[in-house]
Amino acid sequence: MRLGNNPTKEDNSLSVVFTHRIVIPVYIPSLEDYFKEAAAVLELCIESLLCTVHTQTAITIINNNSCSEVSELLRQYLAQGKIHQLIENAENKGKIDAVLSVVRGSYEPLVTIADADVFFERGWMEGVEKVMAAFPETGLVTPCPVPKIWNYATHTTIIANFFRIKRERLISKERLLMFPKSIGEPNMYVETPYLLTQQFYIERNGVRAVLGAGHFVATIRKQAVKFFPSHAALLKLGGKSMRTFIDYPIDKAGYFRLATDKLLAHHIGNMPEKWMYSMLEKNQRPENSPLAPAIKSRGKRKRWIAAIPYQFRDFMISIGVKFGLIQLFTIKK
Amino acid sequence: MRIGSNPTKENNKLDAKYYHRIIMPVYVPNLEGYFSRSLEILRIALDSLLHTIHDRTAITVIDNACCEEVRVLLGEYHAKGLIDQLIVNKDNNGKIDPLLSAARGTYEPLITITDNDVLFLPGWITEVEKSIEAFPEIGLVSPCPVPVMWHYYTSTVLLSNILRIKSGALLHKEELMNFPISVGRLDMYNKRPNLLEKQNYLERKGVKVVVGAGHFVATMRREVFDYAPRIPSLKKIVGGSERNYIDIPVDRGCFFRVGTSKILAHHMGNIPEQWMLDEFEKIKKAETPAAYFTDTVPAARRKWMLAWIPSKVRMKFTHVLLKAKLHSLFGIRL
Repeated sequence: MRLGNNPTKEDNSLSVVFTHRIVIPVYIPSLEDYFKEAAAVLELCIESLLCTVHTQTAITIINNNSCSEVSELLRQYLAQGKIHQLIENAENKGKIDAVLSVVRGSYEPLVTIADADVFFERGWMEGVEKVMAAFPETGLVTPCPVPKIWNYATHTTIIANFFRIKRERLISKERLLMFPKSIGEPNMYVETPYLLTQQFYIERNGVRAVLGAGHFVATIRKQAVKFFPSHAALLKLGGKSMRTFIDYPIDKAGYFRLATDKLLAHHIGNMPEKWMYSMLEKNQRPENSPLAPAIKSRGKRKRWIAAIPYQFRDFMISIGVKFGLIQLFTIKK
Repeated sequence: MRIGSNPTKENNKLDAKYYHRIIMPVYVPNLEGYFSRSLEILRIALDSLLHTIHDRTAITVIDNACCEEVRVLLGEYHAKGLIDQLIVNKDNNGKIDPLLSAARGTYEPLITITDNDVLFLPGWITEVEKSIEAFPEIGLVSPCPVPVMWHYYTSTVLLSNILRIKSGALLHKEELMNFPISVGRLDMYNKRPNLLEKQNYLERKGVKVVVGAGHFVATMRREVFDYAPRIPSLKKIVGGSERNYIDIPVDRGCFFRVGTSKILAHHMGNIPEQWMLDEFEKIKKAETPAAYFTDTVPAARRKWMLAWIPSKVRMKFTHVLLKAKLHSLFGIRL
C-alpha cells in the first residue's frame, strides 16, 4: 500500500550536468606476484587523475571483482565523494564489455577510457578537449601519442588530410621512449628511427595533433559510440578486442584518430616509478589547483570517406606506406 | 614499468552465462516519514525476486545515493553474490537516467526493469519468457497486467491484431484491484467496470497475453532501448520521463506492449501489509524455476510494416479510437 507522497516527486529536477566522463576498469584479483604493487599503482592512477580534471568531470570506476583490499580502497574513494560512480561486479566481466557498457550508457559528450595503470600529467584534459574542438571530425584522442603506430586505424585521418600532414620534432626522444620501456618493448622504434626525431602531425587553428594513438588511455566522442558492435566480446583483457570494438569502428565511420602534441599521460605498468610521486606531489599543491574550464565541441564525421569500402581504404594505405608514398607527400618543415 | 606478464592474459575467455537481466534502481534517502518502512519493503522485494528467478538471470541494483542502512544492506547482498552488479552513485541521478544507462549497457537480450517495491510471485519469469517465445513481436511484457491501460501506447498491438483480440475472464477481480489500491487510485476501474470481469487478450500457441500493461515492473527486449531518446531526462522521478524513455520507445519501435495472462507481481507501495507477508512465506517455499530458454532467446520481430506510418500518428491512434468509441471495430470490449 502507498501511504503519503514520495517527497522526491516535489523537488523533481536535477541540475548537475557533466561534459566529460572517465571510465576506469579495475581487475586486481590478488596482491601477489604480478599484482604486488597493483594497489599502489591504482592509487597513483586515481590520485593523479583527481588533481588534473576540470569541474564538469564525472568519474566511474568499474570494480571487476577485485580482491577485498582494492574493493575497500575504491569504496573509500566513493564515500569521500571523490569519484561519482562505482560499479561493483560480482564476477570479472572482462575489460571491453564492462567499459563499453558504461560508455554506451553515459550521457556525456566525451568519454575517456583509461586503464588502471595510467599516470595523468597536468593539462591532459585541456589538451584532449582542444584537439576535439579544433578538429570536430575527431572520434578518438589520446593524451599519450605513440608515433610508431601512426598508420594504425587512421585511414580517415590520412585520406582527409593527405596534403596537409606535416613532419616535425614535437616530442623529445627520451619522453617518446618512456612508453615502449613501460610495456617492456624498448626496441619499438628500432625499425623506424626517423619517427623518434620527426612525428607526423596535422595543424588547424594553431592546434596541433599527432598521428599515432594507442588505446590504453583515450577520449572518445559519444557520437561515435553508436558505430561500435553491440554484442559482447566475452574476453577478460582488451588486447585485440579493442581493435574490433573501438579502433576500427571509429575509423570506418569516418572519424579522425589523433593524439595530443605533448605527452600528457604515462603507462605505469605494474611498478610505480619515483618521478611519478614527485610530480603527483607537485600537481597536488594548492597553488596548482585552477584548471582550464571544459571546452565544448560537436562532432562531424567525414561521410564521404566512410562511404569508401574499408578494405579498399586499407589496401590503398598499406600500399602507400609500403612504398613510402605517404612519407614522401608529407610536408617537411 | 611493467615487470612480468599479466596472468589474466593466459585464460582470456569468458562465458555468456545469462540471458535475462533485472535492473532495479533504489532511492531511499532516509528512513523517515514516507520512507520509514522502505528497508523492509526493499528486503521483501529483493528476497521475493531472488526466490523466483532461474540461474541464467543476473541482477543489477542501482544505489542512487541511498542512506547508510540501505547501502549496507545492498552491500551484504552483493557480498553474498546474490546481486551480480551493484552500481553505486555518489549523487541521486534520478530514476530514469541511471536505469536507461544501465539498460543500454546490457548485453542480455531480455531486460526486466522494476521498482524496488515489487512482490514477485513464483512463476513470473517463466510466464514472461513463455509469452516472449510465443510472441516474438513483444517489446514489453509486464507480469502485472493492467487491462484498463489497453489504450496506453498499444497501437502496434491493436493495428497488427485486427479481429484477433478476444475477450474473456482471465484475471480475478480482487487480484486486479490490488494495483489500484496500492497506488491509492481506487477509481481506476470506475469507468470500465467490465474490464474487471472480462479482459481483452491475444492468444497464440496456447499462450495468452493481456492488452494493457504498466511500467513499474516490465520485461523488455534490449532492442527497444535503441528507440529511446539519447539525451538525459534530468528528472528525479515520473514527470513523463518514464513515458518518454520506456513507453513511447516500445510503440515507436513497432513492438507489442502486453501483460501476462496471470497477475504474477504485485506493487507493494511504501507500507507492507499482512497479505504480502503471507504471500512472501509462500514464495519462500516455492521451488526455483529452471531457465525457460535452454539455448538462445528467439530474435525480436519488429512490426516494420507499421513503421511506414509516422510514429506520432500511430501513437495518437489509440486515443482517437477511445474518443470516437470505435474500439469495438478492433475487437476491444470495454
